[in-house]
This record gives sequence, C-alpha cells and structure tokens, in this order.
Amino acid sequence: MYSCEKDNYETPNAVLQGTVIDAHDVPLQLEQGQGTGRIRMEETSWSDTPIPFYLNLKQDGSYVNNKLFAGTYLVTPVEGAFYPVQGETIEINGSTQHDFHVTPYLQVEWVNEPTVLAGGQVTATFKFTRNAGPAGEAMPNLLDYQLFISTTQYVGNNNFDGTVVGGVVSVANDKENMPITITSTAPMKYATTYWVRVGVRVNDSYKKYNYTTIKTVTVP
Amino acid sequence: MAFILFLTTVCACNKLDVPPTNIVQDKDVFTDAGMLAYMAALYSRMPIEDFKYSATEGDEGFNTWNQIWLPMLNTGENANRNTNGFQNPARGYWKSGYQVIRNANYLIEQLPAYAATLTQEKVDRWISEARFVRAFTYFALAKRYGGVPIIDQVQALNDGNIAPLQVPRNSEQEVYDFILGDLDYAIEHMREQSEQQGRANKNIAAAFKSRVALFAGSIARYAKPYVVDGVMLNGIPAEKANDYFTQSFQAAKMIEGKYTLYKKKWSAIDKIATADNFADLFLDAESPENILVKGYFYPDAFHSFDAVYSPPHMTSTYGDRFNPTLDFVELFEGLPKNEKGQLKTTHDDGTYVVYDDVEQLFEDCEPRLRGTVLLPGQPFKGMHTDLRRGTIEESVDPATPIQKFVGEGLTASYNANTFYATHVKQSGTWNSQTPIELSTGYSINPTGLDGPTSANNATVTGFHGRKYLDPKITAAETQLHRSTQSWIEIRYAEILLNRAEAALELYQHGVTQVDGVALQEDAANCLNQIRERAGAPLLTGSTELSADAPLAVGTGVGSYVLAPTRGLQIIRIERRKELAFEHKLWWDMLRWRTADLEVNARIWRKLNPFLFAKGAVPEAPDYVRGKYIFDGRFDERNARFTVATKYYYEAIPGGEIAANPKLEQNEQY
Repeated sequence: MYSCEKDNYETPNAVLQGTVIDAHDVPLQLEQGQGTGRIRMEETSWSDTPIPFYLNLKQDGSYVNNKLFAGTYLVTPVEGAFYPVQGETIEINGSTQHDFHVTPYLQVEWVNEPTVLAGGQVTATFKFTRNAGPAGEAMPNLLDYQLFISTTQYVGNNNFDGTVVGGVVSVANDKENMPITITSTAPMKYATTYWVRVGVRVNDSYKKYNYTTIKTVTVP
Repeated sequence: MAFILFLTTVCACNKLDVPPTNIVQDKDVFTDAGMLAYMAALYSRMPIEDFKYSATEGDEGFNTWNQIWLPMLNTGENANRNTNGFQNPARGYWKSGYQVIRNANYLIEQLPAYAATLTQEKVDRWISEARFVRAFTYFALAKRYGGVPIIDQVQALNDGNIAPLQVPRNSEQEVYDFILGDLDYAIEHMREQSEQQGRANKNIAAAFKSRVALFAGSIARYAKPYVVDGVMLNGIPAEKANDYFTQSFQAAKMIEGKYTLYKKKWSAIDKIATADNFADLFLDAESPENILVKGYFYPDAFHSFDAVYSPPHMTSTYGDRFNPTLDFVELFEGLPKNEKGQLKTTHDDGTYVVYDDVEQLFEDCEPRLRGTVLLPGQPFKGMHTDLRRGTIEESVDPATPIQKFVGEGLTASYNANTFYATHVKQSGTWNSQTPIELSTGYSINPTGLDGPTSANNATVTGFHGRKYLDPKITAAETQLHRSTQSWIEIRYAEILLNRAEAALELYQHGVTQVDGVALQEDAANCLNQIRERAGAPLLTGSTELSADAPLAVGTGVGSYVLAPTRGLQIIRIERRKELAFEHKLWWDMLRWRTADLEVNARIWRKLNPFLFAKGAVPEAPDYVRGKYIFDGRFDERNARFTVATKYYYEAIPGGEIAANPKLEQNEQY
C-alpha cells in the first residue's frame, strides 16, 4: 500500500537533441545505431562518479533523447571515426539543443556517383582526403575501403548485401585524393532501387568507417 | 518425558559453545587425509580452460558441457554454423577466481601452525602448491583484466567496516611480478614429482612460469599502456620486456630433459604413422610430453567433447561444431599453393584440376595436418569422413574442363553460376537426402554425410577436426556427458615454442645469449624439434629466423599471420599449427596485439569438394570412389569477423565495481 505512494516520481521528460557536425560544417555521415560512434552521457549533477550511458546516432549525424532527467550532464561523442574530443557540460532542462563539432579522420566524397553497368553491377568512383588532427594529433594510417549496397535506406557496415561486394579492399595513405573506382562483384539480383555508399577506414582504436553520402541507383 | 525435560534443562544452559558437528573443523582438515580433500577442492576450481570451458555459459565460463561457443571461433582455427561473427568470450570471471585465491591464502596462513603434527617438509610443500594454484588463478585474471587487486591474505569483516575490504587495482606489472614470485617460490620449494597425478611439482611450476613470463614480455613489448591515477592498469613499461622474456627462456630451459616430445608411433618415412602419432599424443595417458593434465573419469567427472565436436554422422547427437578453416589448413606443407599462399586447385587458365579420388589432393600433406584435421575421405572410428558439397551430373564428363564457379576472392553464391545451377546436384541437409540414381544402377547421395550442405549445416568450412577426438568409441556410443579423455593444459611442445619465441624476442632486441646459450640458434633448434616430430620440413639454418620484414598479407603461406619480423612470423605460424584447438591461440593473438588487424571484417575460407557422378562407385555408405574437383572460396554464409581493440581486455564486472568503488574500469568500457 505504501510503496505505491513512494513510487510516484515524475517520468523523465527532458529532451536533448542535436547533430554531430564535421570539419566542413556539414553533418557527419554515420551508421544507424552505435556502429560508427555514440554519445556518452554522464549525469554529474547526480553523482561525482556517474555510471555512463549512451545515446545512439542516426545516419545523418543527428540524435535525440526525450526521456532524460533534467540535470547537468557531461556529454561526449565517442568511439567514432573522428579525432577524440573533450566532453561538454550541458544543462539539460526542458528541450535542449546541442550540436557537437568533430574532425573526422577522412572526408569521403563521390567523384562519379553510382551507376548500373550493362551487366547489372553497380559501379562508382570516390576519393578520400585525410583531415589533420585539430590539436596536432598524428594522422592514423589508412586501412581499407568497402562498397555497401542495400535494399533499404539504412545502408552501411551494419546493413549491406555481402554476397555482391566482395571483401574489404586494403588501401594505403598515398591514394589520398586519387579517384578510386569500385564495382560490385556480382550483378544485382532484383530489379529494384538500391541504396549505395562507400566507407573508408583508418587504423585507430575503433576502426569505424567514414562514409560518403548515400545515393540510390535503380536497376531496371 | 520428565527425564528428557530434565536433561535439556540442565545441559542446554551449561555450554552452547560446542563445535557444530556438521561443519568440518580446521583440526580435521589439516591432517594428511584432510589435505587430500582440500587439495582436490582447490585444484578442481583452478581456471583451466578445458573441455568444459565456454564463451557463453557455465560458472563464469567454466564447468559446463556446452562448448559450442569458444574463443577459437575468433582466431581462424575453428568455425561453426552457430556463429556468424565475433564471439565475445568475456564471462565476468572474477568472483570464482577470488574464491580460489581466498582458499589458497587460507592454506598459506594456517598451515604453518600445524607443522608439529604434519612435519615442516609437508607444510612447505603444500604452501608451495597453494601458491602455484594462486598464481594460476591470478594469471587467469591478469589475462582478462590486466591489473587486478592483489589479495595475499584472508580478508575478514571487522565491526561491519567494509572499507578495508575494498582494495583498488594494482598495476598489470605488479600482478605479473606477484604471479612470478609465487612461481619462483613454488619452483624452489617443490619436489620433482607430483604428490598425485594432476597436482603441481617443481617442473610444472617452471613450465607454467615460461608461459606467464612470455605473456608479460609480450604485454610490455606490444600493449598500449592505460594509466589511471598513476596506476598502469593495462600494459607494462616497454623497458621491462627483455627481463620477462629472459625469465620465460630460463624457465623453459630449466625443464629441458625432464619431458620429451611424444614419438611412440613416429616414423621418418611413413607419413600416416607420423600423423597418427600426432593424434595419439592427445589421448595417451602415458605420454612423456604431458606436463600438467586435468583428468576425467566416468561417472564422477566427464565432459561432452566427442558428442559436440565429432563429424555429424559419427555421433548420436550434436556433432558438427569442429570445423577447421581453410585458412588454417593452408598453413601446412605438402599442398599445392598459389603465390598468395592459398591452396591451388585450379589450372592457370582457371579451370579445376580433376583428382582421381577424394584423398588425392591431400596425399602428400604434412603429417601434422592429418593428425589435427579429418581430411576428405579420411578413415576414422571405423568410418570415413564423408565430405562433398555436391555432385556433378552424369552428363558431364570429367575430361571436359570446368571453369571455376565463383571467381577468387568473391562472395557470390554458387547459384549465380549457370553451369552450377544446371549441372550440380546438392542437398540442404546431410541426413535426409534424395539420392541420385546413376545409369550404372548405383545410387549416391549428392552431398557427403559430413557436409558441407547447401544450407550450411554439417561443416561450414569443408573440414572436420581430429585433435583430441576419441577414435575408439562408436557413433552410437558418442553421447553427451560420456567423454573422459584428459585435458592437457601444458605439454612440452608449448614449452619449446615459448622458449623459441622468448629467445628470438631477446635476440632481435639486443641480447645474443642467456646463460651461455646462443639465442638465435636455440630458437631454431627448438623449432626444428617441433617440425621434425610434425613431419614438416626443417629450417635450413638459424638465419631463417631473420629480422627482415615479415611476408606482407597475401604474398605467401601464412602471410596473414602478423608479426614485426619474418623470424617471429615463422615462430607464430608454427605455434598456430602446433597448438590449434588447444584454447591457447586466442590469448596469443591478444598478447601480440595482432587480433584487431588480423581479424578485421575477415571472412574465413572454405574448401568444397565436388564429385563427378560419371564413373562414381559407392564403396561404403560414407565413401564414394570417383573423380573430384575442389573449390576454395569464402565461407558461403558470408560471416564476417572483427575483433575490436576493446577486447584486448574484458570489462570488470559491473557488480564488482558497485561493491568496490575503488575499482577503475578498463578502457573503452
């Protein structure tokens, strides 16, 4: 009987939302979920040694959590394909908007957008540029790249058809700024729309991908 | 009634301080017989990663029948149909470890008081054993977490004050030094012979020390330090590396002559005998190579290795889960290879080589491979390993060249190939197949009874394993909870490999000799002992263990095995070939810090045999004589494995941090 009374806390209803923005002031290209980074939250107004919890990120770099307790948090984007950043102390109350600025290891851009070859394979040309560390950190070495093709818009390393693209392709630092063409290893199976992007990785602790934007191709 | 009442009234008030009869007292334990029981309990809880170790269940990973998931699924040794990606082996082994440590500490503290009744000699010996068990357990913790709190006395709760019980983590170096200190004490105070089988002695302590010091040296040389509040929780200062490698070398050298490599059936000319010799060494209780062994006997102590790990048609239940990868098989000698170091089963024009029978491809292979893996057609348990992915229709003549179904390095499915789709018969299961009727009147299964099937069951790699499987039990007798072969935790071959690795690590870092032994020569000599017994070609000279750059990935046999120098690459490849499936290589790849780069979006390779129906003759239910082609390719499930750098250490269990706020968590957790 008494326990019901004591349990009548307000549900947490503070909101934190925003976007992770890259060195060129555009949203960082990510995977849906925690595959290419996540937001670490530590509620410092609750404890001096808070146990961290984590927010997922969307593909377009945005994030939102509308079930937070109001308070002061140390918030840090972590474990992504960008140079480590210091956490920021944020007062969260009501609806709070906060964008993070990070420097990705690489910018990956389309040179020729994906097209479908006569045989049904998807081909595209991209290039990557290495970003210098913002505080003079050493640039990690290149590792490999991979073409990702999916029948849904959530394309990325956590969602692609592995039977049509082969394994990862090793790449060295000296390929920077050079157009690299990548083609699927088998024809597409269905006449439909495919979502396509290319990811490139460096050899840091996390080995997460920096991505191109997402493009669609339609196989007739 | 009155009498009883009287009795209770009088006695009960008199003295309640009577020792309870249902709890064993110290005075009963610290006797010869009592110590036998105490030791049995202590040893049985030692964290030996044996046939009852698991990456998914058990008591913090130990003591379960279910071995389907093990760390060796992440290393390229083994694959199975239950695992499509990285298998995190972290089971939060902590509490059980500190219980063993507490029991060992209790013995170390209490035994000296009983010297008068037990004799000083026994007390010293048993304290040494307790310290060995404590060292073994701390090593299990250090491997997983790096630095952990060193508790070297029995903790007690005084006046409800828990603060003194909350001990912070020591540095990783302090933990390794503590372990090595315990082992040095054990080596000094123990006898040459164990008191009972399975218990420690001087030589076992030295053998184990060579393993521990090799780990410490590797951590110092290759790990990235992680320091919190001035304590290096992960990693050891690099300048300590040579000290530890020296200790490892000396400990390994100390037991030279005490053990020998198993060669009872070995033959310089008969490759099959040498292969059988290698397989026998894991099953012969009298093997002179055995150093530390954990025994099993039915019905008191048993495991389920044969039932879970046999080829599917050789067991009454389970089976299937022992599938060595083609990447592993390709490490061995005596096979046709291409310039990448991969098995070559095609002509230069890309058409398949046709083999006269299923055994021919492997007939000249290194004997150790045949002793470790069940190859296509290999006799076992009075049956044959029946491996066939599909059967090519009778209308196709084996003399007509067939182009490789799926190009090298591609992940596409076979059905994308028109020839395959029209001419190859396959089955989705091994145990309910629709036989193919031949014009000769014979009928044969399209797929082998041990797989690989089109639905990726039975084997997923085209091979089954042999190491440790008991060939003497029939398929019907192969059941869960009935296996009793011993687990060999330490054998002499590992010590020779430890010694070679420590020697070369020293030699390539400015130390040419230790105790008058020339290190590069000694490393080559140890390696050649292993190779001779394996039936593999010997090193031509110690200079082969060079400080040159290693083979780059994709440029030769074993080039995927990462190492800083060619010499160390050769030693690491040898270690994989020799110690595979013994639950050691995962830890090796962690201490070398190569797992994250080597196992990175990695798809294991597979070998699919295909039979020509034309001319095929079934000679047994599990053996069809006929011409075969072999297709090497990526795993058809397209399972990709990645070991992230965070897995170089496990997370300290959250419950432990809640109970002891002084425990700092590891990096990336």
